[in-house]
Amino acid sequence: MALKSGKRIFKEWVARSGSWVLLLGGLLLAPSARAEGGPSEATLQVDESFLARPMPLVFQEDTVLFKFSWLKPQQLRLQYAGLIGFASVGLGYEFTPRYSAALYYGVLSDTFGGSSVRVHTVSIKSSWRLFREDLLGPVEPRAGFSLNWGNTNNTFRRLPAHYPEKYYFQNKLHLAPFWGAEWALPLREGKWIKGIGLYAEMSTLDAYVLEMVRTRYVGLHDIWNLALGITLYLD
Amino acid sequence: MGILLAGLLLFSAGCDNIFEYSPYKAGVRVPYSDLNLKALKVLEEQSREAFAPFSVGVFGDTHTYYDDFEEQVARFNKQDSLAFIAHMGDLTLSGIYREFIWYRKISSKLKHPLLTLIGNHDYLSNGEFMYEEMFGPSNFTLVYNNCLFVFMDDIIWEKNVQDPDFAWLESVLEGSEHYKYRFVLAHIPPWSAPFSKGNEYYYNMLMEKYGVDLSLHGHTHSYTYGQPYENGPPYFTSSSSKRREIFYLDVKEDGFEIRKEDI
Repeated sequence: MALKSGKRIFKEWVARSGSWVLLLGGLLLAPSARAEGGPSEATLQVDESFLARPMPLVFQEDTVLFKFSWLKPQQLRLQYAGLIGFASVGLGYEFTPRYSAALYYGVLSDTFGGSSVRVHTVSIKSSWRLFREDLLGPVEPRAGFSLNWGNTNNTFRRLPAHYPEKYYFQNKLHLAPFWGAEWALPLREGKWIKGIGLYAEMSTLDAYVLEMVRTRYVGLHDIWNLALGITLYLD
Repeated sequence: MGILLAGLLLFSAGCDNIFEYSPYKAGVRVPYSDLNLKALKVLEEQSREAFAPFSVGVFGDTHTYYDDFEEQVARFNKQDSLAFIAHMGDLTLSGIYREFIWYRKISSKLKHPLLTLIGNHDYLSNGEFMYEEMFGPSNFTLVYNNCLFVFMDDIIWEKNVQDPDFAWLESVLEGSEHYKYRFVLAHIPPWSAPFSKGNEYYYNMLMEKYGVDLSLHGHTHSYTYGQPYENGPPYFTSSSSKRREIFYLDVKEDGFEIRKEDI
């Protein structure tokens, strides 16, 4: 067996379908690390626990100090419907007072949602607070978009080899804009939960928006669907 | 908060399917299920034992050309004496749940029984399973006024390069000589790229062997009628909805004819 260079292994890993999601997730998580202190601070204040230990990662010539504690989410979310499955769980990260992101995994099956074929969806949701904090009391209107990556039958990012070029557009990845609001309740002296939020969001899909633009038949009121969810704010 | 919630509820009241689990969902409930099987039952009851002239409406490749599709439906509804309407396949663009529902919503306005073939686009994502639940098996036959209609699923690439089920086709054509006419309907015409040369030859050979009178197709998005092979029947392809045409197959005592109507 020929030995592969590290560079080649990394390139193949990136090229392999799926790995980009991990990479994108990693990129999204990176700013939260900075907000929490970042690697330079970590060298001053040594924490010997496994999660907080800086771990050098070498990408070609760049060394990045990585800590597993960066992955610790600030929110846990549970969602019903919303194009990413019958039910989904999400890890939420607050990057700025305005911007937060969440990584969801959702499932749809015969038992959960009545689909004869099982669908697994991984979704990265970016959302922005629409108003200044506390302007509307406990209600926080927000909007944003999700990148939904559906795993099921006959979906592809790259066309299988037997098709002529550009025979179909990729149908694995969809962009889903949304708007909605969350009603947040702080909890007193919670052990690990400092608050709980109930949210409702109206979302749509790139394909539906396209048909709304292209046809008279599909109107603005036809393209939306409702998602309901719970956010647990972790201490 | 109250205003926001009320607005949200009011807005959602306008949508009949407010919760949507996935674009890839495959699953429908009554009354959206087994539509072909239900139409076949109606037609079996309407059909006569002996031959009597009748007309069939034909169109296909409606994809997401919903405005043109609606007008095609309205035009078919102006006809009073159609036995049924055949959709030649490609009722969706990406085989996703909503596109099936939109197809069903528009086509349910048809006042004639509708039989829907599967097309290559309808196989994308979970379309194959959605089709099966919504319409029934993708291969089926109908005997109407002593004429045989064979509806065949000839999708190849989207089934990971699988040959059409010629054994099934042969089994239904075998011993069909006593019918006055034999029509075969399949989405992809045999000269189209997904058919290998061998499959193309074999398809036409079966048409010739069993004396099929006309082979009807969609897929090409343009209307053609002719005899492309030295032997074998004439072939017809219907256009896409975008071309704003509908077709009729008039089946008469002394022959049959394809009629095109512009809308």
